Amino acid sequence: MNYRAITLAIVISFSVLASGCAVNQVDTLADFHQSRPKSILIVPVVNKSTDVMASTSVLSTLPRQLGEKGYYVFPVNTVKSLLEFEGLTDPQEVHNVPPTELSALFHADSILYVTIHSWTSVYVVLATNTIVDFEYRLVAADGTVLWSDRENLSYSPQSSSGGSLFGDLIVMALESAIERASPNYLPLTRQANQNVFWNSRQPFPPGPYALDYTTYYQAVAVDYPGSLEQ
Amino acid sequence: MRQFLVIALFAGLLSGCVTQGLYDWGDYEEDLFDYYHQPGDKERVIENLVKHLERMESTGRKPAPGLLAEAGTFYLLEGDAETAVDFYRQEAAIWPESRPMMATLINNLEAN
Repeated sequence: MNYRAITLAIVISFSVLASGCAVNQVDTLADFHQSRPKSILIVPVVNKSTDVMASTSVLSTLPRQLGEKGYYVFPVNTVKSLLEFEGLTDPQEVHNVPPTELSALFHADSILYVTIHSWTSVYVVLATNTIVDFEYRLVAADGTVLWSDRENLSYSPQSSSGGSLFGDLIVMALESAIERASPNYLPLTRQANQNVFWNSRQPFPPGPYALDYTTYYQAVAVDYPGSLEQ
Repeated sequence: MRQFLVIALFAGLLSGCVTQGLYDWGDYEEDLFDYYHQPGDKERVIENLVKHLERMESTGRKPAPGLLAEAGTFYLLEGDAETAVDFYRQEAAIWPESRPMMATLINNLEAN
């Protein structure tokens, strides 16, 4: 690596990282900023794929992502159990309930709807590749869409190379076999959720328990005067 | 040496943008997934969550949002409403946002 290449790498890494930490110039999140939800009700995930474990694996990995964003996240299994008790056993039925009714039932500021559009595992000789398509929609108690995103992810279980070709082949074959028996669900959904909630392309604002909540909204008030007025 | 500096610089910059965890979630994600798909694991999952919550209490750390209520619901689904109510009260005490929902659950359970 020569000196110029290193300088270039540093400049690129700086600009990429800086953009990851900066606030957007156009307030595409005006509704979110005005609504400033404190709590998020994550309702059961609609699954349009044929994979029966897909929806619970997405559901299990959502609370942590959003709790760490600084929101109060309603307990997903308690919510799921309560809805089932009310006769709403099919997630699609839950998604069809008007947001005003759902939020009133739990006194939630916002509702997160997630739909799995596809979940396809491709088994090849030495490795398994899983391709997923998830849709995320955060809606205010009054039904206003505050934020939405779509994640297409192609996932292969990670393996660390042992350095020998023969050893690597054995590791790959073993991983492929494990994935076939019980696909690597949680690392995949964790990755997908992380890509959605922690990126610079479509930033998800921090909630009231986040350490940067106050500074975030101060910056919003400076960058977009009037956007926080009711 | 130069390569080392570049790597160190990268690591430093990356750590600057990573948010430190607000809570300790224990094995919540893995255990909840197991709870759904391995019915034989239910007892272990409940036990593990209770242990985690006890650890949070003894170290004075605030449990992650929802975890106390989840423990309550695990007990409720096992038929132990009394322990469930106890956990729902704890969730409500720590998280104001949960109070209306917890009150509904507690009222319904105590009415029966």
